[in-house]
Amino acid sequence: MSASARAKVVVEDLRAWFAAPGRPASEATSALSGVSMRFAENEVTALIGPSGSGKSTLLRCINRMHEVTRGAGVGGSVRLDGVDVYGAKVDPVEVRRRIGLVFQRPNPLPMLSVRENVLAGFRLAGEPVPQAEELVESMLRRVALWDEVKDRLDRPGTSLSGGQQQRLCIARCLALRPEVMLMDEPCSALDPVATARIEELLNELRSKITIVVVTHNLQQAARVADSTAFLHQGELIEHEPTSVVFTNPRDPRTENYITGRFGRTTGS
Amino acid sequence: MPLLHTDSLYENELSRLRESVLLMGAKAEELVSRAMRAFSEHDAGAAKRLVALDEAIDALEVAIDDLALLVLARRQPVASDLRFIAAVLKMVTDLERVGDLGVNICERVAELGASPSFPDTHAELEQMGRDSVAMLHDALDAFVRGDEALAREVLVRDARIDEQYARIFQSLVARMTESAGTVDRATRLQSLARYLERIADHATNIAEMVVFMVKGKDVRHSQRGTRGG
Repeated sequence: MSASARAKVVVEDLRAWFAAPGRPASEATSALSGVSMRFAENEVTALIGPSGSGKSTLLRCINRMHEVTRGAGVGGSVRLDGVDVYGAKVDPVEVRRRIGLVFQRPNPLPMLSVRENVLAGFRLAGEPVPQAEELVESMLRRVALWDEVKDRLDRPGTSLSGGQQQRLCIARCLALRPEVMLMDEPCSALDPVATARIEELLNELRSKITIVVVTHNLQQAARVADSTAFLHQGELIEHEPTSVVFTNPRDPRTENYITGRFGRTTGS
Repeated sequence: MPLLHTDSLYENELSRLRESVLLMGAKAEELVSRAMRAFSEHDAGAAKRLVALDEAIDALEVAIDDLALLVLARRQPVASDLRFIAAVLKMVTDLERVGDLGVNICERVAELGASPSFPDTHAELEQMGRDSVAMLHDALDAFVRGDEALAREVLVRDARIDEQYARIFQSLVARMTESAGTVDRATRLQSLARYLERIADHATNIAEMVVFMVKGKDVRHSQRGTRGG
């Protein structure tokens, strides 16, 4: 994160694990082992690292989605605006509302129309939506989808293309006005054109919302992120401005990963 | 032990680039060395013989640029790989200019012919030629070995070449002031000194790129005397 930016989310000594059903935590598989980092407000942070490095787990710990998995456990703290989201009095549903999550595969709710998908967060919470039509239009405009779907708002969300579906999911997330948006490989199922639209959208959103994006696409991290963090085997190796990570990373493990050196040696 | 790229084709592309730059550098070094030998031996025909070498250098510049662009497009290199490609793209421009300056030296040698020499200046120019070629050699050596310390040493040596150039220039001005009949020869020798000074500058540029390539630190346009440290 940039030196001047305020930290929106602060993670300290975060540990996460998965225990097999019926087995004690001492036999659990560790997914994160003591990660501490700060996520700057209204900036895009990219999390990169090989599969199994803990990127998605870190993401899901931030909005308390990790604990939903059976056998999963969390230690350490995640503070949102200084308040520990794992505090005893904190409602996890409220945390997930303030910290939205966009998944890898576009997942519009089946059987729901485009319109109802945008409003799904409110509907599922049983809340009325004042000025629903205006909200639907403004959210779909915000994700640059309005012109493409305004004539088929009553069609199923699943009838849209993959890229449109993902933008619809982002609109659904944004409709709840989250302060932080977590994105888990949001473009991995999309073609380059749809990917470019999502990246353009991130660029427009970055000044208004804190974004954390997990990606295996290093060029995407280089393009969209203000800062980039490299995780490896559940540890945070390096978190620097993206320009530093991709031109002159400090840690040789980061260097080896982003340049594609995974184990062959020169033998000299 | 340094790690290789997991993609061996990528590793091969980078190796080919490195080897091509070395080959180009070796040819540029050879051209300047042979040009200075022609100067020492009053060999007026050297320029024609060295044209082919200069053409080979030009062809390598084009081939290296092509390969570097291909690697950029195909691999989107980052970190040390990106710095390597950036360094290569700049270095080949310097090496191509060194080749041209070597040819320029030969042209002045041809114009000088076997007319009477100024022995002191002649010896100083030969020394300046050896020093400039040595700088080029060491800058290329630093490139292939990724040797930041050697690159920084090359940077420091540029000041000595500048002093040699200033001394030769002044002594030739003094000769021309004394005798108008020396102007033709003295101005050509001044040009020759300037070419050598420029070759040392190109070697300096290469050394600066080596520091950038190895450490990610841009030392261009730093204060003289401090960038070597």
